[in-house]
Amino acid sequence: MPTEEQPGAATVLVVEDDPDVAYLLEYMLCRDGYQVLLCRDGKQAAAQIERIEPPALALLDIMLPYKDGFELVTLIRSKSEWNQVPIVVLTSKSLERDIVRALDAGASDYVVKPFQPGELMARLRRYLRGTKG
Amino acid sequence: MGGAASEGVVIAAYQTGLGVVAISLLLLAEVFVLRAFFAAREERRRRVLDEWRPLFVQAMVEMPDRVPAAPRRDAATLLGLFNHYHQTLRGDATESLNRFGRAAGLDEAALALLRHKSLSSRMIATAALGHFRERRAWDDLLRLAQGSYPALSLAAARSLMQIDAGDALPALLPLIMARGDWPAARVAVILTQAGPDAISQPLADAAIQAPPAIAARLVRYLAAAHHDVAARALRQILATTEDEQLIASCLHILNDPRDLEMARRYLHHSSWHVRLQAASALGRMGAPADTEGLVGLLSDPEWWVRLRAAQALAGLPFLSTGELRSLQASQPDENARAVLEHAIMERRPA
Repeated sequence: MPTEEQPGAATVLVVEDDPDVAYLLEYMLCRDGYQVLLCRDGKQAAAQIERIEPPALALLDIMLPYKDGFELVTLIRSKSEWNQVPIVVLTSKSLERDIVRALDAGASDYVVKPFQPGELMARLRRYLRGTKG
Repeated sequence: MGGAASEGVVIAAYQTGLGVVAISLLLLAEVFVLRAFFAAREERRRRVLDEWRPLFVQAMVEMPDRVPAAPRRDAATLLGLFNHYHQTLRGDATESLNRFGRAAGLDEAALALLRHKSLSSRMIATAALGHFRERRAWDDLLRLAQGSYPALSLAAARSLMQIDAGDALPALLPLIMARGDWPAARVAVILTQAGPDAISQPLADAAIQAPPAIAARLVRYLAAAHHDVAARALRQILATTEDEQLIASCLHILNDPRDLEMARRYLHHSSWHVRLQAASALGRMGAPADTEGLVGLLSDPEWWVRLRAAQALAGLPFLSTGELRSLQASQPDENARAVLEHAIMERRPA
């Protein structure tokens, strides 16, 4: 973890299998005052989604081992208590059909890689406003 | 004598057996040594990445007061991380990465690694020098672009374009035209990333002057050029060429509605490749008056032309699904009805 746990801080679920990108996302979110729950693959993420309280936001990569981001979006939206959780997907593909598929499954927004960290954080802050705890 | 001979055979067999056992033990020892070597190398790589990843990320937000010198021994690992972040990010973060990389001496490390005997190290260094936009690597990169390894030469071409597209393109155009081992899709990405300002006119000029077989390839890259420059080049080529492959390539990227009449002329060309591309062009740019021409191609002897004509009709924004169904029902040709069904099913709901 880039920083120590912050009691009372809002939690962001991050699902990213690339360790370099995962570290960057975790660092930027912790720096902004959020607690990060990081999952490295779709199976781990699905287990956490069944177990934890809904976070303030879910940031999901699309291409993941075991379960991809589309399946996770569908899983999250199938849980009534997670219905209000904003979901932002990170996709390497700028193909229209993947973006449409993610949004149709229930994602709130998307960011295409390569991304600008500042732009990504601005998009996330839009959904996280008022949730810092 | 018989006893001596058999004793000799036994000794020979015994010695051969000993030799086989010795070789097997040596091979086993080699396997263990290699495993230990690779495990130690991977462990070191992991430790280096765990140590330096935070430094890279922190530098993207705020350059640290003190940047440690990157150990030369770990240059390939760190340059790999540098390249990976460059591929994942864009904008100000990449400029911060470059500042950090230079402060850590990674630019010098990349220059040194360019002459490494390992191909993978040269690939990593080549990519990094492009991200650094390191002019000092120009001559070496040009030499690599002309070299025999396709992946390395293409990586060098990309880096040259990143450093200075205006200077690089005249040197690379002859290679783009000559090298059949450079995948067209990869070349297209390199040209697109360089931007239309850098590539449009040189590419258009080369396409106009090249022999038809080479021009047909270059024309496809004009999709990355400024629209007006590409359109002028396509008109000039189509006005003079009768080469079917070149005509088809031009029609493939024709996208200016002012050239609609030119595309229509090829609907009944003798080559089905040309008819197919003409149908595609009408699908992109067509007016209501082109419906009839496309319907005519639904009965083309070539299946691919029929399919493309049907897809073009299904893609026309002024034709609703209901109108397509009516069109389908009015076709006397069973093949035409079948291919329209296929295209209508592919169509997104209106």
